[in-house]
Amino acid sequence: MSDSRYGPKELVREALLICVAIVWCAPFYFLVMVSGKSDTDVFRAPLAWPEEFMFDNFRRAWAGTNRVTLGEALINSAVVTVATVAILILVGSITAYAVTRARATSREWIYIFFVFAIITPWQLSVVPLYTSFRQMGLVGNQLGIIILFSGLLMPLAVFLYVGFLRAMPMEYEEAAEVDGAGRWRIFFRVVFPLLTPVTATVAVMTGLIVWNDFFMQLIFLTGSDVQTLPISIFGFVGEYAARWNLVFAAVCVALAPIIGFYVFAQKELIRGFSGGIKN
Amino acid sequence: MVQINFKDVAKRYADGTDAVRSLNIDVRDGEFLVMVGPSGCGKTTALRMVAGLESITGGELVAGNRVINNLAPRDRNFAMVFQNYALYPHMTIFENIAFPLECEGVAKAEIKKRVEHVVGMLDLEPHLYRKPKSLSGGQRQRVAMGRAVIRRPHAFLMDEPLSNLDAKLRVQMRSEITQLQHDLGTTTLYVTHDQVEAMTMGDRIAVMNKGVLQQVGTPLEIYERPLNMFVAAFVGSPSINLLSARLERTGDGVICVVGEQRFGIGATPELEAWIDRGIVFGVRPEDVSLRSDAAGKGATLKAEFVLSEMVPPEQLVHLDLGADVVVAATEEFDGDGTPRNLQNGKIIARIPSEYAISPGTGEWAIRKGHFFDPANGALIASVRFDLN
Ligand SMILES: Nc1ncnc2c1ncn2[C@@H]1O[C@H](COP(=O)(O)OP(=O)(O)OP(=O)(O)O)[C@@H](O)[C@H]1O
Ligand SMILES: [Mg+2]
Repeated sequence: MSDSRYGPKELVREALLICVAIVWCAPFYFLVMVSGKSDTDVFRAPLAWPEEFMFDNFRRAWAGTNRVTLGEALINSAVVTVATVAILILVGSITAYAVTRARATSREWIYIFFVFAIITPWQLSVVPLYTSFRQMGLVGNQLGIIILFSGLLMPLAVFLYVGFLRAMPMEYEEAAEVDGAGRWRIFFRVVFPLLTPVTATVAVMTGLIVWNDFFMQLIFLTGSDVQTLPISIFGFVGEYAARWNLVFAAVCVALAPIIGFYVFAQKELIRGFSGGIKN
Repeated sequence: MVQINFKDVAKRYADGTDAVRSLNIDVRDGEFLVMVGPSGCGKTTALRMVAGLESITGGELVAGNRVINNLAPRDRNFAMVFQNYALYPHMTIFENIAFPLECEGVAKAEIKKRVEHVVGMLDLEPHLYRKPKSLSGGQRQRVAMGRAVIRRPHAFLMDEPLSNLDAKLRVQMRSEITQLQHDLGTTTLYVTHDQVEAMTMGDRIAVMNKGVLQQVGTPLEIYERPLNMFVAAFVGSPSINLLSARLERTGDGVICVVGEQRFGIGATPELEAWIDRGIVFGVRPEDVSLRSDAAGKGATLKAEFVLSEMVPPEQLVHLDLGADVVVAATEEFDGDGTPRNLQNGKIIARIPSEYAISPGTGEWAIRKGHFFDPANGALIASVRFDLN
């Protein structure tokens, strides 16, 4: 069956989209290319394809920096990201549930508090946070950075959940209430599953922020044995010489899980971003 | 199973809307009571107050001799069927029906047994492990019923459970629900805006308007002896003909004057006080018939044939009385009972479809009529003319 006509208009559109796709892929091309260059090639001809692709760069990058291998850094990043996202989902959704469904008028103030926290830049609070975290022994370890990110990103998570919950019909909760369910059962058996689309959004958005963050991790984790990927990669940029080929090779490694995850969960993600509640 | 008593129950919403005013109804143990009324009359509000989903702002709600005003919904042990069912979209049919038992902490094996029993009763076996969204409207309706009956609650609360179904399915489900209720003998409070549903399903009917209870009674009582103009106009389709009239005394007794026409009404003590005053005369379409039907008896009105709508085995005959005498159920009247706004002279008669009606003006017999007080719409007397 070929009832879809393929005329000049479609041809132009397709060519245009292919161009966009190529432009989109350019950074990846440079990423892979530079990661394969020898130490001298990087500076001699940064844009040319390497004379010989140096797979050895990946081995050297894998050895890591500051006595932490890239593999360990990868695990550290994963631990911090997964733990933070889990806390954000659990605490964020329960908080938003309370904010949207409580009868007390104080709920509006709590909501405004969270909104203000979103628009306040993190960087403002770095110095006091660092001082107090240091006093509590939360600098240079995973627990500290997890608490830090959970706190910084909680307003965003609550904001997203509140928006969704406000639009969600009360009917399911009311049905559960009449059916004899208590507060916790209503939340975990009825409300939380219905929040799945927004939970996916929260997970992806905050997960990417944590995974990619450099600033906070640089300040709170530098020099520790739990350093994460961004810090490890930064380790290749020395005071006198930057080994860009190793930086790029390490970025390839850091990117791999994200791309893998995307390919694996593509369908679910798109559904999560576009879908509401359907019964 | 339990009886539910509304004692001056009232609901005023935060924005000042009086949705329910001083409601007094006793729902008897095991009874099927239908609450009916036009949109916005407070039916849903009343039902939600019983369920505990809406706070009660006045009066007492008693269930099984216990005031339950402040009891949490989960402690009331009522089961509710929502208008659009509110099935949990992420759960299978099995899980949906099992949910109330899960909340009670019933053992897994027992849950399975009871769900299977209910599912068998409602013909839902093939769909047990599907999600609600893949079911048809009628099947979802059954699942909602299943979720309600599984727990053997003190009472069922149903809010227009059939309004999302097509006409045929609605008729079928109507009898299924009534049958189920009879078998289980569970006290049921059922809300609808559909008077046919109310008439066919209810042991008794409570008619509401603007938050105020108008009348409670069996379907027959409501139909035969509507306590006011609103109930008379709400029940029956097509609606009752309401005419502005006057009573006069002549040598032959009391007569009723409608426009220029007059007919005797015999001796009715309740009407004595209304002589020489404005009154509203209501006659149902099925109580108007061709003159020959009621030969020589009762009251007659001359009316011109306008048109006939065939609905075999009946026809609805539109007639014109030739004078503006028809009033609306919501009509406003002056102090002496004269209506502010007369519409026209058009009335409807309902007769067997095989009768042919000749065009022009003919005589129509009135079998039965209701007289209402124009000031407050209250029933004064119901009169059978063919017995006079
Ligand atoms: N949450 C609310 N806040 C304020 N007013 C409300 C609220 N819910 C309902 N009302 C008002 O209360 C009145 C009764 O509403 P209710 O929903 O009980 O009517 P109903 O009889 O169920 O109507 P329908 O047949 O359309 O469902 C209406 O005037 C409605 O506007
Ligand atoms: Mg309603």
